[in-house]
Formats: sequence, structure tokens, C-alpha cells
Amino acid sequence: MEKSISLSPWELSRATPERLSGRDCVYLGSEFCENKLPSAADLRKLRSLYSGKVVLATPLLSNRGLEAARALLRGLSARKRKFEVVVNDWGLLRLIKKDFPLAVPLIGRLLTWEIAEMDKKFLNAFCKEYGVPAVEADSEETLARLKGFRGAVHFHYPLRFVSVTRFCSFTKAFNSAPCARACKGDTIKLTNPKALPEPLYMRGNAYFVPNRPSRHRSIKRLVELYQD
Amino acid sequence: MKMTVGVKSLREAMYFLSAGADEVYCGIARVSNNRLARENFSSPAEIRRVIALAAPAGKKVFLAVNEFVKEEDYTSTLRLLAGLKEAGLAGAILRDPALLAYFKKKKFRFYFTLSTLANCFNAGTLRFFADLGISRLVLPMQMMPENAAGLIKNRLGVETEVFCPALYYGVNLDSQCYLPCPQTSEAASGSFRDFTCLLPFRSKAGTFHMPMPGPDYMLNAVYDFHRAGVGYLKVARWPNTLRQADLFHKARYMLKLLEKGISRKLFLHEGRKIDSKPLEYGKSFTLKPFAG
Repeated sequence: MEKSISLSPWELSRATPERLSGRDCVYLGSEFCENKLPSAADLRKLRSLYSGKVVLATPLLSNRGLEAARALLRGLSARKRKFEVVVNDWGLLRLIKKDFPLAVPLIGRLLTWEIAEMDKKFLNAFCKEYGVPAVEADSEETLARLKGFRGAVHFHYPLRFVSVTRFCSFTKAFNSAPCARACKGDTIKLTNPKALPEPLYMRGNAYFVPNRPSRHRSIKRLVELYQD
Repeated sequence: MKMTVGVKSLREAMYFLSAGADEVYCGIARVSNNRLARENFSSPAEIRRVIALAAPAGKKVFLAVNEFVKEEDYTSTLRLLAGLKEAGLAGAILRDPALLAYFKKKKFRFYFTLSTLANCFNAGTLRFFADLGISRLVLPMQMMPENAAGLIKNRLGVETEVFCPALYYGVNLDSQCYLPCPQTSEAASGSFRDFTCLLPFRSKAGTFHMPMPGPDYMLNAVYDFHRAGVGYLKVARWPNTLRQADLFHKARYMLKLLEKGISRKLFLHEGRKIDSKPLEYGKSFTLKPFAG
């Protein structure tokens, strides 16, 4: 079982080599917010802290975000080595297949929920065609729905995604607009006991509930969320 | 800009078509779509009656198949759509790439609309689905005009459709929201106080509401979508038909203003007078269909 940690560029600015050491890989970016795509400088900074495998995490993308992701993929491809990219956008998946043979797409949590619904014969053939060896997940329900999928699963904890908006509560703008990353790496607890028995946790533009690492046999990698 | 309206019955189809809708769409209970069974038609024969109603006026009818379809249902779905196509159905609304790929493999050509649930936010995603045979794209509710130009003026011949953001907006991405929701739950709708995304939450910093843009932003979005050349304005199926009818007439009024070439300033002035959250009909998710 591989062990990994995921962090956004803002969290990277506070990370130390000790927090990252001992991991088989490090995820950098975000599956939920376009403004948390890392820059080339962020990738260099991560490499100065950590010498292992880096996985680029990407969210749903606007045209502007897709161009930013394309630039990142170009930079990563220049190293002439295969690299993994978490993909939550059909357009990016298509782009990788067309232009970036060194990029290995991992289906992200937003798309995993969707593809888990698909006919598994189609899904397996689709993943083969697009060179997808694994998907990201964070719930037992998704794992159950993936029954019949031949690839591996990477499981995220200790928070399970439950909702996302593109209208950011920090900037009061759609998150395809530039922002100063005011959300930082904060996890904000939200409660309404009459509506939800358990609290929600807001991180940036996404909402989560707590989960635990799963021991499902399909899981080949555990991905811990970086938290201060 | 034409108006397309979701309906739950023949009577609703009659109402909206006679009130100015250019198209209606509906679901059928045994085919996977984004509404509860009780909000769907029960048989192809009922859909045929809607087609027979719309066709003489040159109006169109579409079928929603906008959820993922199980492989064992592919053949029957194809058979159903082929039969209804022959009867005059104008097209189908889908989101499942696997189903689109199956239709392509079977050389079944039809007017396919990509559902808003597919979250097409960029030109690459549009190309991905265009390769699978779509003819129209419903822009995601959280796709705003400033990001949509490349999708609206695409070179693929794909038409575009939008919701009226000033009157209908998803606080979170609706296909990616797993919060408890009265509109998608089989549980009795009366047990929900409201949509979870509209409720107040407590946080360390005080009361928190899940964010959404202000009314002026949304009115500007309606204006800009119209100017950008979006072809269709959508009024979705709602459980509470009176609320839906209210929304339809307000959307139609806005559209009339836009078609007259009203200035942005005047459109905002008029738009601000429209109550976008009517309460007199009850909650939007309470099933209150027209009788009959």
C-alpha cells in the first residue's frame, strides 16, 4: 500500500521536508478549485522539499484553467519522465490523450463518482483507451459502485467530499477569476443540527464530512489531506 | 432565443406550449433521468400524445435520459428512442458518455443535447462530447457568460442553452452535490425544511450561508447570455407546477424585453422588480402538479 499526502500551493508554502518525508508520492494542487492549480514555481518549491514522485491534482476547468493546466503539463513533460495527473475534467482528459503521452491520468473524485455509474465493460475499455490506471475515491459507497473496475483505487482521508461550488465564499466571485487564495488552508466547521446530524467542513469552495482510511482490497494508495 | 420547458404531464405540455414555449421536454419513468418517477410520464404512448400536440404548431418535444444508464438497459433505451424518433420526437437529453458511445457505435443518429449535469466548462470538454455526437449543450448553472464565450461561439455547430440565472440557480454544482436534498430524495418532501444549501449554518465566525452571486450579477448574466447568442432559455421541470409556471412567465417577460433590444440599464431596472423567490405557491420541491 502506497502512502501519500495532498496539499495545495498555499499549504506547500508552510510545508516542511519532515511533513512530506516517508511518502511514496505527494499530490500538489486541488481537485476542487481552479485557483489552486500550482505554478511552475510551486512545483520547483515542492521538489526542493521532497525528492519523490509528484502528482498534479486538477479540478473542473474553465477555458482559462484548461490553458493553465496545459502549460503545467508542458513543463512536466519537459522532464521526459512519466508523471501522474489527477483529472476531474473531460476536456483535460481528452487533451492529455491527444498531446501529452508522458502524463498518466488518474480519474479524480468528481469524475469517479460519475464513472462509477457507468457500465463497467465500457469503463474498463475507456480507461484502457485513455491510459487511466487508477481512480481517486473517498467513500465506501463509491468503492462499492466501482465493483467490476479493473484499475486501482487511491483513497483520500480524513475528509470525504460532499459538495462544491464555483462561487467562492472568500472572494465572492466565481473561482475562474483571479484570487489571492484567501481561503488559505483553513478548514471551517459548519453546523446546523436540525438539517444535518454531523458537521460539515468547508475547505475553500468545497464541503466535506469526516471519513477514515478504507481497507478495501482495491485500494493501492492512501492519500492523506495535509492539515496544519 | 427560444424557450424550452420541462413538463410532467400532457396538461402541463398543453399549458406551456400554448403560453409560448417553443419546446417541451419530459422524462419517462422507466428510463433513467434526473427526476423522481412521480415527475415523469409513465409510457411512450403518453409521450406520443405530447408530440401530437406539439407538432401541428411546429413545436418540438425532447426526452430526458440525463442520468447514467445501466448496460442492460442500452438496447431498450435505443429501441425506445428510435420508436419515438419515428413518431416525431425531436431529440434526447443525455449526460452519459458510455451511452453516447453506444449510440455512436450503433450508428443511431439523433439530436442529442448534453445535459447541464455533464459539467461542460471548457472547449476541450465540448469537443470531447461533440466527438460523441451531441448537437446542443446546456451550459452548467455555474457557468457564467465571462467564461462561456468559447462555448457559445463554438466551431463545432453545437447549439447552446441556458437556465435563466436570475430565476434559477444551483448554489452548488448540482451533479456534484451529495448533501441531503428534497428534490432528489424518495422521502416525503414534507420532511425537509428546505434545500440544505439554502439553510443557515453556524461557524466560528458567525452565521454562514453557502454563497451565491447577487441579483444584479444574475440579471447581467441573463443579458450577456442573450447578447452572446445562446439559442435556448430553459425552464426546468419543477415538482411544484404553479411555481414553475410563475418562473416561466417571468423568464418569458425577461426574454421579451431582451428581444426588443432593451438597454442593459433598463433591463436591470425592470429585472429588479421581479420577485425571483415566490413563496405563495409553497416550496419548489413539494409535488404539486396540475391536475389531469
